[in-house]
Amino acid sequence: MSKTIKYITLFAGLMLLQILLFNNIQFSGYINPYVYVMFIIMLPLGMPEWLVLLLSFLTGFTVDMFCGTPGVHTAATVMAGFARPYILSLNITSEAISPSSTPSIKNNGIRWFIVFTFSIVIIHHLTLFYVEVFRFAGFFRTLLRALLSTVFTTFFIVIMELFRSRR
Amino acid sequence: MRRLLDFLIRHLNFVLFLVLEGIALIMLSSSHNYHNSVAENIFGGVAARINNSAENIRSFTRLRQVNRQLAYENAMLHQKLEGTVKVAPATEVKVNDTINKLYYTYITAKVVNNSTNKQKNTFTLDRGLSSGITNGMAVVSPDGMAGVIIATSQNFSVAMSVLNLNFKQSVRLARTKYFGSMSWPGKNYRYAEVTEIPHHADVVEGDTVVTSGYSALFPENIMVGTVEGAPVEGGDFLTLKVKLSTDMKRLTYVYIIKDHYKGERLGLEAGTDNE
Repeated sequence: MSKTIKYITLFAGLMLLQILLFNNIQFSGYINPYVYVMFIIMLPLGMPEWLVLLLSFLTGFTVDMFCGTPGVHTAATVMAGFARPYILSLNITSEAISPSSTPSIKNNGIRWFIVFTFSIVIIHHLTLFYVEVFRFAGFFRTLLRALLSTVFTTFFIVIMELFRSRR
Repeated sequence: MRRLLDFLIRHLNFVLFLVLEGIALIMLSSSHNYHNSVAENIFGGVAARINNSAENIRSFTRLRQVNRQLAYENAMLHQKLEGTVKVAPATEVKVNDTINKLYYTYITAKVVNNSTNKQKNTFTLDRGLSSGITNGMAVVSPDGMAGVIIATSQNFSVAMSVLNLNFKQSVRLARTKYFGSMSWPGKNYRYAEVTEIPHHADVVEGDTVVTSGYSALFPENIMVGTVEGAPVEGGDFLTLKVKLSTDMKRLTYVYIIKDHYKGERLGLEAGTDNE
């Protein structure tokens, strides 16, 4: 039960952070970090796939509400939620991973966490940026935006996880 | 049919993925009607409300600048008010080549230090000699009288607060024009005292008290406060309890009033003192 409350808090916190802070920061035309993806990353490792998909859908749908971009974020988060179990199965390192635990630097090591975060974020961002422009003209420009933003989003998520695990 | 169902159940997650992704794409393609229908109906404008609060927060960060602009604008408006300009006699128009003579200049200032809990309270302003501030200039807040400059340095000035036992000001009742003397008894920071109001003066609770302009400190008709409670009779005069219009504990932006004719007036009055 307390875990549910923890996730609701995380969801609300990330939404506020995204809407109030990151959506307002103008890094450049190429860099738009979407840190709310952290919610999908932080879901328990053993969570059933269908629940991950539904929660991903909810996450994207909420962001779309606030950004006035119907479907764009939803498509990206559903894609990321769908890819998550496959990334998890590919991404097993030598450390043992218990299925009930949440991904964290403390449990899984910083290298595992960065690789896992980066993998989810890049799938999310590639989908997001291509769906957003909805065309393949300027293919490489969109690719560059997605890749640069992925680096920054990953950076911010790892920083936030560092703070979270320090407490 | 059975085999189809089996297939769907086995690949439940993939089907769910397709359904959800399909919904996303439908939302995307019908985005024109979407805003009016789905968003408004399902969420009841929650998103709009939160976005609105976000804008409120953003505008909050700009308040400092807005305040400064408003204070400046107010000073400009005050200067344009009728009371601050005086029509010069026709003979002088030729000499000065001007119609209106400037009587008072309002200078905006910010309170950088303020005391209200002592007996001789003062406050510090962020304007000094470099802005043309000199001793004896009146300080008013947007709500009314606030104090008088008693010391200046290059960039700061200190004003004697209304809440100072040494503060005395000639005031009058706005309605009946009887004048008296205002001072602060040193008890409550919201209330001052007006003495020397004659017995026959008609005073009711709520009467407005303004500056009389008889002293050279404050211009005429600056708001001081309102009469509270019944007048107290003592000796030959009435004593009134006046609630100050300016809340001295919340003083932030004030105007320093520069009187361009103060020197001339005081010089003339000093010359006749011995008569």
